[in-house]
Amino acid sequence: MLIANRGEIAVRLLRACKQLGIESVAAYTKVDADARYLNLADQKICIGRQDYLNIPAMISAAQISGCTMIHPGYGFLSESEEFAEAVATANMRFVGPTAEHIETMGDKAVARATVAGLGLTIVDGSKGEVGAAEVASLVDDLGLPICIKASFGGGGRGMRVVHDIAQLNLAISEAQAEALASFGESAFYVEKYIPKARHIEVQILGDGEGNVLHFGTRECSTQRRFQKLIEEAPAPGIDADLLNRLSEKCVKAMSAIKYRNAGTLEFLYADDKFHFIEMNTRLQVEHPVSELITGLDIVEAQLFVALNHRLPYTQSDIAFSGTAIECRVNAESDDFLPSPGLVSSYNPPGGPGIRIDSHLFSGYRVPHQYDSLIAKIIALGKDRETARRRLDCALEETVIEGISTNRDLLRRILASPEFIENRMSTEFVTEFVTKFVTKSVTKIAKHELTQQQTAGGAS
Amino acid sequence: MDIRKVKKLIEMMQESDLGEIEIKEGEDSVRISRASKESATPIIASAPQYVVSDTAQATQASVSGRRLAPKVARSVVADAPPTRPRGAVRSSDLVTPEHAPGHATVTAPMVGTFYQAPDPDAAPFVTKGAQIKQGDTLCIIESMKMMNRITSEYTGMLEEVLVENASGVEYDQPLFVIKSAS
Repeated sequence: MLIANRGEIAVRLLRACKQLGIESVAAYTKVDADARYLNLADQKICIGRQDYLNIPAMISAAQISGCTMIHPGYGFLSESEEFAEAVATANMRFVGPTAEHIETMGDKAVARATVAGLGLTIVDGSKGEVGAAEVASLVDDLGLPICIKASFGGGGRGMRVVHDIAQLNLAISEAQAEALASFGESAFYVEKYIPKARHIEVQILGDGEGNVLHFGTRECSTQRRFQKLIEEAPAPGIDADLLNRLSEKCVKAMSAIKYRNAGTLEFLYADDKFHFIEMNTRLQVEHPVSELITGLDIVEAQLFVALNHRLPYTQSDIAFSGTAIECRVNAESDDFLPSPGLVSSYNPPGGPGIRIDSHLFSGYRVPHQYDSLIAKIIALGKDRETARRRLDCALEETVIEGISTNRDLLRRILASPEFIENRMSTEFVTEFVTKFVTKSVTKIAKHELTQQQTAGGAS
Repeated sequence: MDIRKVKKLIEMMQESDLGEIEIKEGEDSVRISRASKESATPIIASAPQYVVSDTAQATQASVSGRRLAPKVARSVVADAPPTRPRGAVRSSDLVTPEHAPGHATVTAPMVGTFYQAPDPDAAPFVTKGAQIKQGDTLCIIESMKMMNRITSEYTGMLEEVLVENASGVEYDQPLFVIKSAS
């Protein structure tokens, strides 16, 4: 199997290959040539200077190394229908859905229309993509605030919330420019923005023949600018029957379209209702929390489906126990600026219920070319509070020196009354960091002042 | 000249500050010089154009008996970008093996399958010993049924073909060594 990805998810996939006895080939770029996880692969192939989006290079690498399968991980080519098609044309198995499903579910404007016809409620908004000229009349219908969303956006890019009609045109052009730069498409649609909502998602797995399983729900409300920071499973504080009904609705919808592969349906939860926002037709960053509460391996299940076109087990084999919480450790400063560079020292945490998915090692240079996720620390506990305490201890133990990380911010969030009492919404982090960042800026200002005084005294 | 005499000369030189000695004895002559750091600097680092006075056509070197590339679709032949765009060389790229001065290494600009000839029945584009001019086709790299012609940025003599025909090559893998004729 070719691993068409990098960083922590490449490590995750290499581990799966080792455990299942699958020969692995790691595709890597010159920038990642020193990554130590490449040694875990049976073969490694350099595909270019820094580009993991080069489809011909990926396919060629798979062909010259004799691969029969390609796993795209998340991001990069994972939701490219062109890639899925190229893999199929080259007579290899794509560990993912059909190109057709990437197209219908990956294009968010189309996905809204698709699931609306399958019994799921969507957020009010435009019917499919709209032109800039039509937005003003939509605002009349929907009322403010609205959210401008790129059809092919993701990771928070190509999205703008509009609270004030005067900002509308600017927001549209910003969202379009961002989407064009990141995804090569500028088409967008409009949704009513639901303030103070919670982000709830359902993990599913389909075999492409109409059989679908669910692995329960996850809560990912702790996000900033649509980038998730802390995720947990199951979604806390919501009636179990309500969550179960949501999962079953997702299973029914995915069964109707004969979806194949792991996938996630994302919802906003407000006023006791779930509103579908989008679907990810791939493995997600936060899949470990669902693995920990079910004791199952979602990557293994994904591979089983790709190889056998049937499910590895039935819904009754999936039992849920405890709570798992994951936090994303990013190489970034307190004010969210990227902090690449040499990791002079790394010492990961351990102990009961702790799982680390990371490609870090002492002496690793975090490249500036890729995203800032450097480690996922995940804790499992018999209940939410146990998991939270375990995670906090793990973060405290973690040593990452040489670069800045968001570790302290993550610890502050975990210790906040809002998190403990589960009063989270998608806006929480933004409000929280306003206080946090202001504090650290004051500290820097004081520090600089002291330095200036010292310098002045010396001269 | 007696080898013991040469050895003695080397020892003498090591004890002194001399950079170079040349001794003539009848028809025999020997010159011993200390390798200086400058002369060991690989020229490939700056990727200069090698210009040789001999501008004769690259001799179509004797074809080896081996039949080369398997049957490949030739309908699409794309012109690949130059193997090493001038001015685009960064220090991080310079992992090619170091050669003596006047030697340049041509590396693969993409991952794919390496072919020495345009089709299985044809003679290779270049063989060892051939004179290469800048712009000459050196090989084809197939990537997803696209045949990418790889041309030389250097002028000189093809000293080494480092890759077997029809084998896979990764990005930046050394393919050829070209010796400047200067």
